[in-house]
Amino acid sequence: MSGAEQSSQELANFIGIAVKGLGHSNLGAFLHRWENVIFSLLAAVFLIVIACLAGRGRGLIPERRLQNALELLVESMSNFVAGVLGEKEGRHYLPYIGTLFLYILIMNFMGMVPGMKSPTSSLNTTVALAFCTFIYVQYTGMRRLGIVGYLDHMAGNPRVPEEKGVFKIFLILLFIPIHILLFIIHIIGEFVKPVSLSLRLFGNITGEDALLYVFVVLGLSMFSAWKIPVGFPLQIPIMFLSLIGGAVQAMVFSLLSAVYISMMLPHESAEHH
Amino acid sequence: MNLDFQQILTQAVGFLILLGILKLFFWKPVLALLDQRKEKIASEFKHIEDLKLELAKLKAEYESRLCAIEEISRQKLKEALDEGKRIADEMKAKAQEQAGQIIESGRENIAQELSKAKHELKAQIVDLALRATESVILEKLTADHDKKIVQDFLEKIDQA
Repeated sequence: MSGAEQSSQELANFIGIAVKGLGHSNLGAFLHRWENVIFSLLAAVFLIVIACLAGRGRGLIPERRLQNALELLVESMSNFVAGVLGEKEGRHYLPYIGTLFLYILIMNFMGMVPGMKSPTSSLNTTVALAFCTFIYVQYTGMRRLGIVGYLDHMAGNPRVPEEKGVFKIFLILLFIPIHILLFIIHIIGEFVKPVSLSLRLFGNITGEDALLYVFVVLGLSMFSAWKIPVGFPLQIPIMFLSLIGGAVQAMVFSLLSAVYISMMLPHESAEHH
Repeated sequence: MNLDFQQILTQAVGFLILLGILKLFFWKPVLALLDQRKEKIASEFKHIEDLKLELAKLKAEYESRLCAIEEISRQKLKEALDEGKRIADEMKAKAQEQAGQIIESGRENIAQELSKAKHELKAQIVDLALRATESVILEKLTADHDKKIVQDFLEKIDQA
């Protein structure tokens, strides 16, 4: 979805305003096209700055509020991921799941900041994140199970039946097409996962942003008869809803990513936790 | 919905770069710090437990020593009391013996002094009797003169 298509459903942001000012110039077209990427970059820079600030003067005894807050966040995330993947595996995959959560959370909340925009209200952003998860999950599967193990997992772990004689041959002949079908279904399933991930996040955040936009417009229209430039802040309850919705969507995306990773791990480690 | 593959790729690469940076500068140091703190707390707790055990051991040892010391002190006290009693009895017996000796010697002294006084008295009486006899013999006795002689004798006695 391009920025022009979304602009009618979203609040004005500083890039959109700049684009309007620049008109049909090359810079205007560039900014218009890369609007979401720029906002994503801002979110990334924000996270990096916070991480660097938290990293300065870090001690065994936390003396700064920022360090306390971030340690609480890391502990919570660690427990959350360990709850899905187990203590050992959770620790290994925490940076990916944690970064995904924080990045999506910040991008979701950016829509509530005046002059900013949620990059997650663009399908390109959510598809990119879902694509990363897809690649990471497949890579994890191949690395942990091996190529043969990965294909075996995809085919539903086919095994030669223990029965003997004609019945064994009958079962093998019966199971071959079933496992081929399972393999195809698994492959489709693997491709559907990023699609569902990206569409869910995109839909929810787009919906929240659209709702915010509608309520802001409604608030403005309440005093429009008196030509007052400031409207009634009707969007405030929706902002609280967006806070909850944004956090939940970030949580769902990271939780599902963790679940997809856990499904690709060897069964022993999955059973272990 | 138009998917822009350049944007998707850029976003994906951007996310991977962010992941790398955060992993290097945030997740790894913070997790290492949390692990370090966890280990430190665990080791401190272990140290406290060890100290508690050592303290309990020392307390038991101290109590047993205290009991032994109390027993020894009780025994010493008893010995001291017995010794004191023995010394007191000895002193008492000795004192009684000495008192008996003193009384005996006092009695002997009194008897000697009494005997001596008796002898002296006898000698004086004899002497007086001799003198009185001498006076009687030398002077003619009348009733008044006798009376006077006796009175003089009595005065001499008083003067003596």
